[in-house]
Amino acid sequence: MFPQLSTFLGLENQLTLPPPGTCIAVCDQERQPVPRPQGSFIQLHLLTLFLRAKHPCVFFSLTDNYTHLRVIAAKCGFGLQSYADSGQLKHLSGMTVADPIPTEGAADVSVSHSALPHPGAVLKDLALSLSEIRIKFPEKAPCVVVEDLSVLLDLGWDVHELFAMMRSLRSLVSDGTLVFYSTSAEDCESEEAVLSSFLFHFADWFLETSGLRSGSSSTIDGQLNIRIRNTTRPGVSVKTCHYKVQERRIQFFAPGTSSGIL
Amino acid sequence: MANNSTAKQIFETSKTPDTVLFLDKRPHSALDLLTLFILRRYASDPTRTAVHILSNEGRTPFWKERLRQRLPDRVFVYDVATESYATEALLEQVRKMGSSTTDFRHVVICDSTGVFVERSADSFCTFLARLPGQIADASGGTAPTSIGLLHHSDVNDIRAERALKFVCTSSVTVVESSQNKVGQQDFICSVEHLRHEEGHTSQMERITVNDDWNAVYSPAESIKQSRPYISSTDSSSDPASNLSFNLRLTSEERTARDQVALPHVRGGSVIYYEPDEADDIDYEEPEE
Repeated sequence: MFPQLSTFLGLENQLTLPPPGTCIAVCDQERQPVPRPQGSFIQLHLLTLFLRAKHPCVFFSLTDNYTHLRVIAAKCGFGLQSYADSGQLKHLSGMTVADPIPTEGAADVSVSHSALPHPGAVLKDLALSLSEIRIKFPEKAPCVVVEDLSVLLDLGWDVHELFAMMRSLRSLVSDGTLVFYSTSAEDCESEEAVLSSFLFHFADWFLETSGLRSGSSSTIDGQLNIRIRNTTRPGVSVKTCHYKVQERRIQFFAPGTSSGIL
Repeated sequence: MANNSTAKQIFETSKTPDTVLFLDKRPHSALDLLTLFILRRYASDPTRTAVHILSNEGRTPFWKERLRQRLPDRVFVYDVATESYATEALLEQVRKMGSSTTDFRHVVICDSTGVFVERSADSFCTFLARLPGQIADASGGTAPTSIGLLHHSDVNDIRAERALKFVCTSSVTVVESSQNKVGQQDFICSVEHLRHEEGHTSQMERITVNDDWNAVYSPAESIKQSRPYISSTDSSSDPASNLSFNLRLTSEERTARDQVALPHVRGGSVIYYEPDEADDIDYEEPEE
């Protein structure tokens, strides 16, 4: 959907995908006074890459922004709904799994509603969806997108429970690609920051968006730091680019080359 | 200096059983050093070394891909879910692998991240302490076992780190990492022998890793040591260099100052005080 982003990610063309077994973390880091840098377009881009390549995808949304993403994708010329209709894309509303609202006439309403969401419930639901799409599309490895992990912290999950769930999920999708999206504040003491650090160590690709240190700018919305761990050689590939979110597309610049500067 | 390198002892020359703790913190990663540890230990005796990886972060494909070409045989990767970590069942699995490789040297790689959700630091440390014994029993009791343990300081509790340091013989903490001009990976590390036959040693070292996973070890100073705020040789940053009076003494002036006899000091450094009539001394107070 955003060819320039693929280039920055080191993918040769729109049909090139990250290697199987890759775990990708997308982190939106909020730095005051710059507002949240809207890095969710990266997960949408990765999702469309896999859908175009005919890989089955599971989109596990905890912020219930699937409709929003569908509208954005449509604006950018990508019909997400058609993939959902064909069964290649399976959307799971995380809130109904992780924090179910009791149905009318339930036997014990107080117990079912007050119980904290259990990682097992989330994993069970994801595993079920994965097995369904694996049966339907047996020849291609699946891609699972989970957003936004920090919502689970707000729901009362312990940060280490979250780590355990992520590790189990990674084992479950070891042949495919796993994309985690999370938001974090700059405060290094918060649980969100610990989650961000965990993702940094855990993921093979760590993509972090943040506002510019110098403050808000009319020509640049934020900065994307790309850190890709080399598999066979030591070290990591590190790249940085700036971006501007527009009505129907996103413009990417190498640092210092935006229209506001040139 | 190379012979005095603690890092070189850890990565290249250790012949005795040991447990090495690799510590890292964002934005640095010790994963490459852990890989170096495996490959250098393997290179010391490739025909009689077995590598066991207890993969706890779902990294099984990563380890297989990374080690596939360099360690074609005798790499055992266990995909360890948190629930089964540090249990008798896992010990038994490792023991079975040990029994199939009699008289081998064993390198076991563990990852502590997330272990402390299900296991206490004590039980994990007990597991680490028992691991070499289990393998030695299974393989005839002659094979030394080395353990490399990865621990992310910024994700886990400081108490867990302290507990792990009790069971480890050495630790390597990544302080800085960068790519040098020729594309090699440079790590500035604090390298410590925690429980070693030479006693406790600690030094800052630079470990340079090339694309073939060979390493060069050299001493490195910490940033604070290498860039002092006020340099003794840099007169431009010395606040005492432009004063209208002199704060420094020449050797003659220092000798002359030392020879001055102070009135209340008799022959040594004890000060004698002679009270006069106006003094009201409390003889029951020992401080007086």
